[in-house]
Amino acid sequence: MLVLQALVNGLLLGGLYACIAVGFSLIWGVMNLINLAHGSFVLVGAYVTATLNQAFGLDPFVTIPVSGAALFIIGYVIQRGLINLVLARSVFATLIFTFGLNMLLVNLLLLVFTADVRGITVSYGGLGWQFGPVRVPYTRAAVFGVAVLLTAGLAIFTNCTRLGAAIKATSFDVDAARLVGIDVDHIYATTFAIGAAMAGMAGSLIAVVLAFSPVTGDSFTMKAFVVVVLGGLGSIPGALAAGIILGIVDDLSSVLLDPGYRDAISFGVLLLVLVVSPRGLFGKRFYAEIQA
Amino acid sequence: MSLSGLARLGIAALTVMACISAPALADDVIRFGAAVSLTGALSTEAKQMKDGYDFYAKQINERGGINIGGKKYKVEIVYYDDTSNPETAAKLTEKLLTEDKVNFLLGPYGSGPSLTATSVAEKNQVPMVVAHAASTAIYSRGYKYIFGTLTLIDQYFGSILDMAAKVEPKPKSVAIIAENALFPQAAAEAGAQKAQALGMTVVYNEKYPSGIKDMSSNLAAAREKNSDILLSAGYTPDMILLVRQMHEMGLKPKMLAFALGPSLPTWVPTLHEQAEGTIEPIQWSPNMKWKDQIFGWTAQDYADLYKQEFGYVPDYHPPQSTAALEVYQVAIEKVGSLDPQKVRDAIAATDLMTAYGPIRFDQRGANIAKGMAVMQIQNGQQVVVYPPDAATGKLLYPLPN
Amino acid sequence: MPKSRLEGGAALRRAVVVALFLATIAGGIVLDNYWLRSLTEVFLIAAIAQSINIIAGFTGYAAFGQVVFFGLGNYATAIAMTRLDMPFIAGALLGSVVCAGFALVCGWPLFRLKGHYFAIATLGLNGAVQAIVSNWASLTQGGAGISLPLPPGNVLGNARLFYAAFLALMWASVVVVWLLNRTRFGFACRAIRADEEAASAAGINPLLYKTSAWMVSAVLAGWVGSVYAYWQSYIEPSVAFDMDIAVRGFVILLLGGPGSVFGPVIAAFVFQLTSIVVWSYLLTFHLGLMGLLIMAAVLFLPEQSGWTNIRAALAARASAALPAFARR
Repeated sequence: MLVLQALVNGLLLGGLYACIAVGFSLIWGVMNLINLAHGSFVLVGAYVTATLNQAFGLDPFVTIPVSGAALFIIGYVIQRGLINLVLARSVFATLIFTFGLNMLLVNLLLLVFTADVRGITVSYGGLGWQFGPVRVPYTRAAVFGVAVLLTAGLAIFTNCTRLGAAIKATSFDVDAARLVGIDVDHIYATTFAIGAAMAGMAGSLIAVVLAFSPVTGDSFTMKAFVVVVLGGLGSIPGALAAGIILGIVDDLSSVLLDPGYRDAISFGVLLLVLVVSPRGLFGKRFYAEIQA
Repeated sequence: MSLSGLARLGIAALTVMACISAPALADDVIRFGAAVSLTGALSTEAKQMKDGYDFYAKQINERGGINIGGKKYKVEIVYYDDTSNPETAAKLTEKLLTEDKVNFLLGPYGSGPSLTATSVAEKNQVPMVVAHAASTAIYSRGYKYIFGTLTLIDQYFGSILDMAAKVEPKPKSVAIIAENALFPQAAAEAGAQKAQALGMTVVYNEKYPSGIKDMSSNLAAAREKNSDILLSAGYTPDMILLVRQMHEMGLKPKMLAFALGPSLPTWVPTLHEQAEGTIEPIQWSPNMKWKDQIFGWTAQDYADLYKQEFGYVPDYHPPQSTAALEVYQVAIEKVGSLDPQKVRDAIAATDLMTAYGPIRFDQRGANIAKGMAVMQIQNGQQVVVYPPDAATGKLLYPLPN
Repeated sequence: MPKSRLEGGAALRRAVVVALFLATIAGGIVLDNYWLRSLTEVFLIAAIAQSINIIAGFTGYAAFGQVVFFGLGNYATAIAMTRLDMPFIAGALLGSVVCAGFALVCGWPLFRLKGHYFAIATLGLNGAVQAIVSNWASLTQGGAGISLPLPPGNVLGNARLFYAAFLALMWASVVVVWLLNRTRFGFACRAIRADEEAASAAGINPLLYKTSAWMVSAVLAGWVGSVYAYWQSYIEPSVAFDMDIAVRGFVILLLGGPGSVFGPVIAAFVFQLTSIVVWSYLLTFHLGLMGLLIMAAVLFLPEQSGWTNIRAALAARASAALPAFARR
């Protein structure tokens, strides 16, 4: 009974994890950039939604395109203006750079929004469907639905549009992409912007189900790491599957084992996957590895 | 950058540092030092703590200052930001003593920073009055220079349960969900013991890891136990999550209490109707029947004056701060000196009534004279429901479905 | 072979080293508690940066989660002193054994990973250990933390004692790195960093050297952790395994020069003292300002050759981003 409920809870949570992770995966896979400020992007989206909800009473789901657009612009500007400068450097220089960027963003959020914890409770907040012994809350189901839609949307975009093709081409072989006339700088900026937009939209979803403050962003980045590694870099279906698996593992372990160990189990799963199959469940070869 | 470049930069930095001399000490001033969480996760609460200290300073300085042997000394408070980090709090306490040469210390916000900062004060044999850290661990180390004016964590759930025990029909079972961290666990343990002492059964007692994003499975498990009372303690985002998911999972206790949560300004705006009926023990409220021995204020007077000064209605944090300084004032005026040892001895003998409540320390340094009130959110407002002589409203029990 | 960036000014370098050595000794005698404490923090992070230098700067395996050994040192010592009633030195030695053992055991599976993946695995390792420590309350008192017995002596005496202890650790770490620079062991590590397959073909057993390097760095970080626990008199999981320490260590290593013997020490001084200045003056923006400084440092300080290969540097100028580090 509890196990069934835990499975459902985990599934719903997992969709959200996937949505948080998929933008992170895109940026990492295409640009070889681990963006440690990812969690802050998620928070910006959450704050956009919370502000619109508070000021205009807008339902948070309605604000998703707004946070997506806002983060797209912010992401484009940050990449073009800042990140591009360090892209050619070593992995660890970029890690530290984005770490510094994250510190700056967190401080700015603290200045603007203060450290107060925020969240949105919608009128249909506590309600849900009852399927036998299992409850499915409306909000969590809606969040799951939107998360899956956004993730699928990203997959369609990368596979079926010209811009998506250009992004994939760039990730396979930068020089060749340049040779066929692709403006690599613009592609990188667009990729980063899309990744940021996905993060922002995930943030809108977060605002509905969780409470947040400027200092809670790092947990999202860590979650994204684990999901991407588990699912395989560069694979969107992998991110979805991994997110769901992780969500289920989290919830099941709370119910079946000591709830305190859920983090240890998450990390344990990460380590196991890395050691046994570093490419993750669905990973294609690490994009940049494909170069000769 | 070459080594010599780095070295030159280093020398420049050191030179700048050397030019930052400690401010010149003025005569006729008593300086208190406090490491406060100006930034960081607890900065909202800590700002109210700082405002409370500043309120006292303003009030006493308007009256000339603290009286030492016929001469009035103004009060000055030096602040540094410890970002809620224990090591930083310790370091800044060190700085306050050696660089700023403050006379006495005020405790930081929160138990983690207070644990380390109090060690520094104790080693330096300078009194520190802690107004914002309720963990019993702080006062159980045999320290002589540390005093706490607030009611400790082991009373938090105790007051709730005392109130519950008087309700008809008496609740029989209790569930506890608390974060795996120092303060929440102390509350949980003391709560479990008190429940048993009052004849209630603890049917569920679980820790959750910090930063949890989904409590639904724990809550579903708690629902199976169907307890009358649910007690919870932890970081605010987790508490908000708990309330939300409680509703989602259909967990409906008759009484829902938090060690910290409902009194925060964002609780009701975030949770709306889900905040209704939530309970928290509070250190103070404006309608407590206490009258200040030094300034003559009642609790309500304090609240009114404070609102005039700072523009917002105080919760318990500001008067808690003010009381700490009043303890110092009484001790200093009694011994007529700023000698740390003498003042320390006087503080140990404190027997004082303030607008914040009565203060008397046991040999641990904890204030055993003051109890806690209980507050419940009703119609979006904070209503004091216990003890009866300070109540502004009636306890809503059981919570409606 | 990648050269230390200090090649050019060898005599100047030696003079600076000697001057710094004497200055730090003198400091222990003349400074007041607050400055003693502040410099103690510099020595602490310098030693951590050197620990990371051994595994990342020399051997090329960026253990992002290196703080796990700091945490293990903290807890081994705290548990030894509170539950087993051992004196401090015994507790610290226990910590060394635990750290070395842990590096040995974890190295075997983890050293199969490269680049990003190794870094993330160590991150996961730190997270897992922290989670376990937080929950194994019967051993570690979990989230409530452990209070250690106060060290004997008065305040100034204590301040000097720990100043000296961390100073010794810092200089010890410099000696270790210096030895690494000059011995076969270090040569093998650097060969592994430059090209692991070629090193293997040349007869160097990568796993042996990688694991040994990691064990050395682990023991160093563990000692820093042990002394830290005794110094603070109170530890808890979120502080003992705090990623902030690891990140600061990495930033300082980057600033000082990975593979350099003395660079990280100078960088530790500059970085910590800068943050003290920033702190005193900018109450609400110091986090943001440190972030800006970190970004500026990465942008404007050139990296050691050997971190990125030369082709990548040239390619960067042609504005084609070819992340050479990815090709593992």
